[in-house]
Amino acid sequence: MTTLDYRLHDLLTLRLTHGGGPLLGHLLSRYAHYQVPASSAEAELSVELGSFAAAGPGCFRLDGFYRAGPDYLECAHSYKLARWRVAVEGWGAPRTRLRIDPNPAARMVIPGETVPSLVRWKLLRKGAVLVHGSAVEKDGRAIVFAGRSGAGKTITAARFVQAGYRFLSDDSCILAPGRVLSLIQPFTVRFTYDAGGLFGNPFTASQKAAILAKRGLALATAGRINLLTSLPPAQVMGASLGSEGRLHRFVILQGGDAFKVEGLSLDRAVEQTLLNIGFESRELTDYLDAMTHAFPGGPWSRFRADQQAALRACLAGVPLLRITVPGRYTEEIFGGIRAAVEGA
Amino acid sequence: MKPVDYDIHGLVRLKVEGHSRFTVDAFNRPLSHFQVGPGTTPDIRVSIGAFRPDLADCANVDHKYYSRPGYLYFRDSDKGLAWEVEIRGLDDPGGLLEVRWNAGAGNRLHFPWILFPQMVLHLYLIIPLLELRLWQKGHFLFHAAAVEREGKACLIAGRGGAGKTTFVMDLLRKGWRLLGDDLVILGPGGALAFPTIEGQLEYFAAHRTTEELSLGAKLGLFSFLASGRRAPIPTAVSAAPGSLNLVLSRETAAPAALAGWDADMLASSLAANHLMERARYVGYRFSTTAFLDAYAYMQSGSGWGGYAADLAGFLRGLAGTVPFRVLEVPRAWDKRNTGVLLLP
Repeated sequence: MTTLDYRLHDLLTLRLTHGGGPLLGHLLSRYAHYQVPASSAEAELSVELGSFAAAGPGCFRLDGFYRAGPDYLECAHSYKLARWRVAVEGWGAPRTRLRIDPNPAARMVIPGETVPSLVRWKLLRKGAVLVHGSAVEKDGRAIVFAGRSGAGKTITAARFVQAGYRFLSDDSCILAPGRVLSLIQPFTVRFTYDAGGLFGNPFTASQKAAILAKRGLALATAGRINLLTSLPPAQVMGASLGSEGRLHRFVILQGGDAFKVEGLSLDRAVEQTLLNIGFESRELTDYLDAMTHAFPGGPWSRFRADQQAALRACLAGVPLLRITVPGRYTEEIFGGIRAAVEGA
Repeated sequence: MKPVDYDIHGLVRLKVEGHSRFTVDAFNRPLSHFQVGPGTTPDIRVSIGAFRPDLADCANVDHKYYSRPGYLYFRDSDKGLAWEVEIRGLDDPGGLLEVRWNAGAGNRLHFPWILFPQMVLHLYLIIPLLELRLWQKGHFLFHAAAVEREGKACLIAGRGGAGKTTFVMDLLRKGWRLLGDDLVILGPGGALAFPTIEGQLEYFAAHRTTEELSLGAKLGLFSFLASGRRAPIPTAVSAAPGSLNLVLSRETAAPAALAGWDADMLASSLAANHLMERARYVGYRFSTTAFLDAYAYMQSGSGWGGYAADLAGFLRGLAGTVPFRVLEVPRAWDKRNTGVLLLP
């Protein structure tokens, strides 16, 4: 068995234990930026890959998929050929154990949502919210660009980095009271946008060929086969990787016909951000609803309210903006965003 | 085919145009209980068939949902069935919702849609829209079974497989009247009927003594529904909430009432149960109301973001005033023993 230790800032220690095998690349690289030397101390979130026995008969069985016990949830997933079981122990405890038992076909899908779901849960236990947005930082002042997929989070962060900012996150960042913390993960490049042009072509010849081949495959199958290419963050963002900053502006980016900058009320910013997070955390909310159904009153029952309160606390007193960005991203648009967020 | 009109307790009137003539009504019209003659002015009009979306001035989310105030367009798919939807009127809670739904003809060749081409229309579109409109009129389309006697309703909530249908069938055989088998409308005036699988219950009542669906029973049910025969079961229109039962399934020896549950816990469990019922997994997780979330994300003012909290608040009020019992029930057990239920 191989053990890998990670530390997400001062907020969460994570340990991954696995027995090797194919198709673990994405899972192993996801938190690679935060890897630390192996320690003897127990991690707050321990992720273990491998087979495990089903829970005892004492558990409630919910609709054939879930078995719920006190502070314990087991879920049997299946999709086409993939079958995998997930067990979470110690939801409310300082140390949480996540076990995943995949069949070979499921090894491709495990990294998808399960581990980030538990990271989201553990972070919220410390008052921090995982927000679906990119983030950059300069002189200790961080700017978050939240938005749904395709809203322009990545390109906006990339332009700010090219203009001298440090990079904090591409897809999700961590909001804690008074600060924004980085979540630097491999870049996943989709065929849908011209990634080379976006990042100033930092790709090697073989990476370019892989992206081109996947784009061809996507076009040939009318988008049914849509493979992603994963790139190390340092290759894309160079040396300008940051760690944290004070939240200076919180921006919600959205697509639309014309460039527009509007102020946003705290209520609407919280509502919109929670809806955005809701799309990203279906697996976690399904697990927590299953726990709540059988064992109401535990910390899992308060997730929605806790997340709302934590987000509100993080955003209160910070200038909130909504910026509408048209499909074609130009220098004028970047200039407009920069003018809107750089004020004192 | 002529348009079909439904009137749901005078709260929401629904008109569906363009039903295929090649479908078996009993499989494809879960709302047939509410069918009325032509001539009503609908609150929701669903037109099945090809249409041309109008995406001018639309904001886009996830490359999937296109919206401007009042308008939403998206494409979706499940189990080989692909469809596109256009909704107008989302900005006016009291006005007409004009819905267009198009699933290409080639979809009919996919199993199981060759039998159930319109089930997906109900699951993914009509039920969520009814939930929205009923909520805007102060009612909740709630996941629970319900039966009535002497003006009092006995509500039975639980996950699929907990035994709701079996309990309902047993009470029907004992002279109770049906309010709902899977969903029931709850509001300030009490419970309103919402039967969706009346045909199946009629078959159980007329031809079976148990609700186990063996292969023989499935074939019998199939031919019963396909023949268009009816064997009406007694139904009620409305009732005052008389008792509330929550059924949890567990591998125990005998059913037992669980102690230590207060009204807040019950409300929290019931709300979680309701939200779990919307969850779907098609390679990624989403909920059948995701399109309403997407609209609320892009356009302010629909209030949909607050639905879960609103439902929890309503259920707290209900659980605080109606006597309730939380039951654990063995999986292998004769659930016709309705003596364990709390009856009004």
